Amino acid sequence: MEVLRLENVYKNYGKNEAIKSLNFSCEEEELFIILGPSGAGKTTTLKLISGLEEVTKGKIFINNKLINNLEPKDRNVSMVFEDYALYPHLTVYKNISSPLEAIHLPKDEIDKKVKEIARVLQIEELLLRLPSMISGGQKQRTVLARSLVKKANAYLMDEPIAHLDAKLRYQMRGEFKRIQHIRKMNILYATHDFREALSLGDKVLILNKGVTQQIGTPQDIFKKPANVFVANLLGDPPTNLVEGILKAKDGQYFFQIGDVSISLSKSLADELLSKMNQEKLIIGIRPFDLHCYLKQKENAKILNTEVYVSEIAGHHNIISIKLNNTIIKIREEKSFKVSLGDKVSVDFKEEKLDFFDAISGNRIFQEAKLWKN
Amino acid sequence: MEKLELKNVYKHYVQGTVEAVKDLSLSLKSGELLAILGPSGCGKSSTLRMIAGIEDITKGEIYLDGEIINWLSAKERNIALAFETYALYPHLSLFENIAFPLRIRGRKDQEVRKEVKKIADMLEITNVLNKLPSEVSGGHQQRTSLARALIRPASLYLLDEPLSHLDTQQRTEFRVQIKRIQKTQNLTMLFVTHDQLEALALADRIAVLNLGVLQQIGTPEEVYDYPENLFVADFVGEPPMNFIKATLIREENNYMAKLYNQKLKIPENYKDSIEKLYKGDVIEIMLGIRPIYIYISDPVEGQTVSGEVYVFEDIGESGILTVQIGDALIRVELSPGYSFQLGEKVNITFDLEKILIFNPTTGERIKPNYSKSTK
Repeated sequence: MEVLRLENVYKNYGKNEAIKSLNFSCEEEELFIILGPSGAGKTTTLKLISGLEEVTKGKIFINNKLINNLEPKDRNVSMVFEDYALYPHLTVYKNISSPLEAIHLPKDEIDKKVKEIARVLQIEELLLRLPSMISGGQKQRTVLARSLVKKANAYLMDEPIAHLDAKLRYQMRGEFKRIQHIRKMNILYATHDFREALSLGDKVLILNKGVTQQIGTPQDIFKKPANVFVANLLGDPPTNLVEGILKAKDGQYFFQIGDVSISLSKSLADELLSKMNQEKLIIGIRPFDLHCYLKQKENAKILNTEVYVSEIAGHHNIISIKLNNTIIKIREEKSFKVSLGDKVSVDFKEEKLDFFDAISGNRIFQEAKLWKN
Repeated sequence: MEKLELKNVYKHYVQGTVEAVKDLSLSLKSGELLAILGPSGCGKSSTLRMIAGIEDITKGEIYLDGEIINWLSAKERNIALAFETYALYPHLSLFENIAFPLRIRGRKDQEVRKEVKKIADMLEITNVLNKLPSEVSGGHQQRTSLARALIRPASLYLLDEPLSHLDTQQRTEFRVQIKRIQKTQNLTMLFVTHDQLEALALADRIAVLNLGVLQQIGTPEEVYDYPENLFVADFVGEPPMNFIKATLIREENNYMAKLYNQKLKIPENYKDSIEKLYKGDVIEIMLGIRPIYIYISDPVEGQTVSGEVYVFEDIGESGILTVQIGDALIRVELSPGYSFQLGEKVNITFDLEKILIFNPTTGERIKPNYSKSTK
């Protein structure tokens, strides 16, 4: 069943169009992610749904009921705020029960709700302890329990873990995913972090400057980005994007990037030509789909190129090369060591390539029947 | 040649009640890029400011090019600085801000133009040079501040959180530019950062500071694979290292780490150091292993433990599996393509070569008898 639906929603602040023609719907028990950089309109969207801001145009439905004119308190959506401090003088139990006590629920009902959420989050045995007597991970679970103990039609979460340090972020992301698996809540979750989106989302909407770029499952958006914006938003480092020209010579096909030409199979070139209305296009390939060789590798797609820079990223080395002024990043194992200026060959499988229109930036193979899976 | 050397340097504030830096000794070779890494309050900025001459040294000596510089003023030290707060002249164009260090040295206009253009090209700010600082983004201001530091030859370049005002993508791009410039111009550079990813990516060597005390100094690989203590192990690496409490037991001639009734073999080369510790009673140890050094495989004797899937996250370029064993949660980083159900039984195999052992009381790493990690 549909819990939330936005139909053609606009939000203007004076002349500034913060949200343009936004359409999406969330199913029951779904964790729906809005992913985008700052200024995308994520927070505005959540505020429109919670009623903290008024829509300029369009309709918002909760449980199939139009709520445009309802007061925030009558919408029964819960805005989860970034608040990670526990009351040090209160037990874990009292920390979790505080939002319910604030709305004066009966004691036995509070008790039931606290114990239920504590069981899901595996902190049942800690309920009588003080925050100082539990581990960091347990504290995080207590915080999560406190924000979720109050039932709501939908929980709206705005960057709920963004300001935590990297370690806690990893922990909380996992906890979040697990509790959603078990408890199946209706959550709308805004983030700028692609890892959170891919890890947690049942569905992901990608927003840029108020305009929807793509809606899909994490698999969809990672493997079939709708345009270069989406491709560039996902991954660390993100997809390499290079502009070039598709050329034919003596029955052979090439993708020409400045003075470098990369051969393409005839079948691929034919399919591309049937879809393109100009010779320019952008190819995309993920850093982990590129492979670097120190010795000249026969038939490698890119021969004899220079290492622009090499950086350690934990257990990987990120090697940069330059193709016609565009930096291309290659993810290699840490054991693969090169220095600035070394000559390398770079190879990849043709089916790992993505293609985008050079003008619109849109993906060329749109249909489900892609030439790669 | 040692370019910069700190010998037993201390910094106290408020009449000695705050010890910001304690007995710090380190040196920097010509052409080297050293990162000082640590959380806020670790003393990294105090260290930088003492080197720059902006703050007095409470005790100890600092040498630049073999000469003691303790009593030289900031101006007299041949050191160029770029700060986190850009400190640009608001009424001057970016061009004149960058040109400033050359202008005050009376360099010819033609030469100044050439130099500014060169550095602006490298830092990709050529097209905004005519603007005022207030007219450009924080990222451009940060690049300008760096350009101003790099434009003149100096013995040493100090950068304070040089990438802090950039978004993630700009940061990775800019990082590449800094490393290129440092390497191709063979500059000696020291930068401070709280971001371990940045330190690993940029630095030739990393000095990790905590509470004013040097924890470790070494190459990124050394710091990542052979941290000296729990602090360094925990501070460096993403996803973070797993720490697992275990009990040391002896079976026949082998030492094992026991966790929740499962056993991991402690590699042979730890024997001597473990022997010193083991007195026959119950000894607690802390195992440390990075998520990337754990694999999914059929059980291997003494190397595999089994548990239940606590959660699995597919993040496109990798998969993060969290396994529950007793009360312990162990994170495993996998290549793309895996999938697991919550609660599913799973065997995880540790790369024993990569397992680290810490003394849980002191936090120090217990080192094996040989292998390169002993250096």
